[in-house]
Amino acid sequence: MRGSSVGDQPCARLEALEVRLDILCRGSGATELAESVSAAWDWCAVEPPADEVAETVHRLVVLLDGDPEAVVGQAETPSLFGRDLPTLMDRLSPMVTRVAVNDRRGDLVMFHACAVADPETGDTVVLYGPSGTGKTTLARTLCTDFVYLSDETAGVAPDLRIVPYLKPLSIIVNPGDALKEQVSPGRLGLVRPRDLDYRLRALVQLRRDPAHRGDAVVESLATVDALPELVAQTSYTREMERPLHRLADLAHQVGGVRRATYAEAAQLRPVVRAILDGAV
Amino acid sequence: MRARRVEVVDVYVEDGRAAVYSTRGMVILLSELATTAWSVLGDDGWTNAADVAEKLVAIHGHPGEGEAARLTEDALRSLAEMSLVEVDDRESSDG
Repeated sequence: MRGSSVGDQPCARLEALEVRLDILCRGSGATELAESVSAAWDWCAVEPPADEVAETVHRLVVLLDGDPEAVVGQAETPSLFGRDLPTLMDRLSPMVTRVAVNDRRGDLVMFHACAVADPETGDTVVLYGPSGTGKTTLARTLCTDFVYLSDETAGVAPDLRIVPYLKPLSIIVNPGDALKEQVSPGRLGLVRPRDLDYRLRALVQLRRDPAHRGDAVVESLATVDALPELVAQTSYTREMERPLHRLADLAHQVGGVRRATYAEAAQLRPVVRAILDGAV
Repeated sequence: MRARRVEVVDVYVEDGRAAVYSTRGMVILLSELATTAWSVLGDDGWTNAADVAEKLVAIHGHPGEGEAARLTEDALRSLAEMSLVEVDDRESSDG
């Protein structure tokens, strides 16, 4: 997939958490960069409407150039500058996330989570946990059957609608690679959302324990016990009005918080299925 | 000894236990005893530890001779270490 352009400049037009971003590619590697961004972020790509208001679009100028002096003399100060494509792609992903999360902090509850949904009903399980819990691996493993809605940030609207963030997955393609590669969910064979309302059905706190033996264990948590980790894995809670009550209310609307203890991602497949079937 | 609450972001109480979101950005789970002690403290001034102890005994029972005062002071000092209350080793004259 090739990038589009603004004027003569290559550009990738994206939507993350329903926030519009234009990735404006600059430097000697601009075309290569735009193509890579467009390929990796293809599930976030949008064709903006003709009446789009420019002020509502975030512009990220990204400069790919082998010359460290290239940053000097740019018409717009780059948000991101790199001398090689893999590094730049690796750094772009958290930047897009930051911009989108910052933009939606007033109206969404945003969990640091992998969000997967039933392809038929749109019921969604949000599996939240800190970095290193294996959310990307979970998305990669579960979303060959379930719909991929995010491996990083699950946005939940006040009416429990899930706002997807269909970002590429950061994975090590070749053992020994220093940098993770940004890979389109489509390239990994994940299930793409369709025109359906995706709604929060369950909140699951992830507890990955490599020493855990047997099936994954699922337990219900008292909401008061779930709150510390729930807050830790939710963005901008300090800006919410009565954040503990808001999160507790959200938890109560979906039957409380569950905690899943597991060793391998595949162990959560039957857990997610059972939750969606109302069996646990 | 006397104590008073400090400002917090939010408090959620369920089944006698509180989660308190401190202005330091941490959510701290309190035991039932600490939740009661924290609840007894007002938002508008100092409360003597002896008054807190009296309420704790009324709700949770007597722990033994002389123990209520010591346990109450320990609980208040723990809450102070978590930046949820301020303690002062003076008695409040109006308390």
